[in-house]
Amino acid sequence: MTLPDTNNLPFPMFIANADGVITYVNATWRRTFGDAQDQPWVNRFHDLNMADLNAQWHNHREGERPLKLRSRCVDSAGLQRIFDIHCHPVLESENDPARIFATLVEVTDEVQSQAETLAILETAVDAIILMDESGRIDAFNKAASRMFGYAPEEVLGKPVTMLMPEPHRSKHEAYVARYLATGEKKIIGVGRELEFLTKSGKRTPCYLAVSEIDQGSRRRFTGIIRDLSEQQAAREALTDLRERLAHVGRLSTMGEMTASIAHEINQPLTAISIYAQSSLKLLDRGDADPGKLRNALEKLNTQSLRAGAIIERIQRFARAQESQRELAQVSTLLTDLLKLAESDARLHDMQIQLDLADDLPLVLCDPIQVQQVALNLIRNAIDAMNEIHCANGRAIVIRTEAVETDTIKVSVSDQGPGVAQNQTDLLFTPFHTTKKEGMGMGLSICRSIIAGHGGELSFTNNKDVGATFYFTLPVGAHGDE
Amino acid sequence: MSSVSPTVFVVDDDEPVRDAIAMLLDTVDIPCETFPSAQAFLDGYDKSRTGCLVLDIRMPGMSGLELQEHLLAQRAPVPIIFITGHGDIPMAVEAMKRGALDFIRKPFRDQELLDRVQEALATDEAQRADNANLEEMRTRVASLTPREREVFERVADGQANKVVAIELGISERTVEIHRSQVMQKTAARTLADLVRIKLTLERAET
Repeated sequence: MTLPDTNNLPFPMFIANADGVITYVNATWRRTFGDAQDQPWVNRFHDLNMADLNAQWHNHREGERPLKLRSRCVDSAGLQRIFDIHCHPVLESENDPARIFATLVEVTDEVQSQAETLAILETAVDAIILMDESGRIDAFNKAASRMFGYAPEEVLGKPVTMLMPEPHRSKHEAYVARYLATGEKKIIGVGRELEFLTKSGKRTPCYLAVSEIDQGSRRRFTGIIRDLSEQQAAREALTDLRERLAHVGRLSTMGEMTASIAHEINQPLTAISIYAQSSLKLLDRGDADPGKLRNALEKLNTQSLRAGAIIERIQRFARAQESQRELAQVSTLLTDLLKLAESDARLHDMQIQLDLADDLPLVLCDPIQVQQVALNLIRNAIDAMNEIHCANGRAIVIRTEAVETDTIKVSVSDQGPGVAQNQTDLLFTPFHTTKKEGMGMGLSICRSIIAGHGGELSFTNNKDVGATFYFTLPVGAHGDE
Repeated sequence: MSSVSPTVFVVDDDEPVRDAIAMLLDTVDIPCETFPSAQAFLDGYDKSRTGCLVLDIRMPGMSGLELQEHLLAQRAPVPIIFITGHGDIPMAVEAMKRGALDFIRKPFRDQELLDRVQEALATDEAQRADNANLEEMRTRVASLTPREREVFERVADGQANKVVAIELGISERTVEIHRSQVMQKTAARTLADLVRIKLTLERAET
């Protein structure tokens, strides 16, 4: 067999005889490894031994494709390098033991970068999953195993949807198809919070970031998934704490309002009692006019409903309940609240005036908590005015307005003494109070509630007399809960 | 004095309470008028009308106590029964000090209110009768001549005719004539009557 001129080839090559002894090397080989003629070629490579090789070679020689071996070796400069050795059998005749014609392709850089990538992948804290275009899992790192509870071999080659709960599981294919068809990125490069499904069937809150690897004709996707269980638990704990605090605040407010509540309930009870006693009197006289009796009973009934409504209102307010966010019209909430607040104002002979905008955009909020904050501000106003025996006036004004397009402002203006300069910093400090009674928690609880809604609570002294406390709420948006 | 029968004036800002009290009074045939505020009552109040006031102590605008103040200033003698709520005892005590007849706490038994109302109406009647008497006494005493007046003062103080005669420098006989004139003009039948008239007028002046 005549060989073409192999000396110009950019890669090393050699020819070995059937015993594995090198009979020819090209110039590139000589430059790389020095002369190696008459030596067994296997000796040059660290990861190979003759026995293994013979077995492989024996099995292989019938095939068409070259046998590919990867091995490390030290070059003539003493550097360790990695090569793919492509061994082609060279047959002189049918029965001849084969000679080997081998070309070497260096893969040192590639192997190293792969090792680096793998190391990064395996030490990453976040779960990293590689998927092909059809959504089958190509790679699954250690963190992914930890997070999902699957060993890599349990998931490799399987559809990534096995890690998704419904409804995403059923929709995933459609998501991918839509992306491949339209190129419209809903999640790629954006990232979002969602839930994943672990091997044990538990739904875990995660943050998912997906990126696309363009490998020419082949597209692959990597998903990096961060476990948000702890963050979510912390957030839930905060929300829970806030709710409990808000509830304690409401109970304490109700406690402070006992007198006005008792007064409020006493009114219908008094009327009920007199209607009943009058009816009895009519009956005792023996000439009861059924029309009069009927009238009395109807009025009595109306009054018992009135008493029931008062109790219902208080109960709704005092109940411990999970925070329920709903879209609400703040002006309506304040109109409802007025019934509760007015009993207190009446007791102190003060008037509450409403100046409510009726076309405000809806706000996503916990209605009871918003009413709670407003009630607190109204009660503070009453206390402030009481402190100076209403010397400046007896009116409290509640105002709602839209500020810019995305914020609603609720303000409560009083005619009290205003906030003293030395109190301005202390006002929102827990357990600080200027009142004889009270825990000093009111305003700090209010501020916490409003912060939970993504708003702000503050105050200004009025130009003429008194102070205005106000809070803002973002329109139709979630708070930081 | 008006010829209308004694009326209970009910002043309470709570409509159902007002209405219920009116119904209760109606069942025992006591005439009654209701007012939603102290001001509404004052606006139409006729001092000469007989009756009593059933007054809510706590109302927006003018409170029950303030209405009492106004009536005192007008020297309107109408007896007041205050209706009080849960924590109103200090106010009720204040009202009593200023001469309120009584106070009752909401809710109350019908008989409690009716007894107080009867009492108040009786008080009003007695007061008005006393007042009428007083007026008459004043008129009668005013009709005395200066000399007769001097005799009246001294005799009613318990001085003997002889002492009066010496003090005034007139004869005992003349004192006797003046004294019988005084008895006649003041419609006193005995010396005791004369003494009572003097004391009553003195007390009314202070």
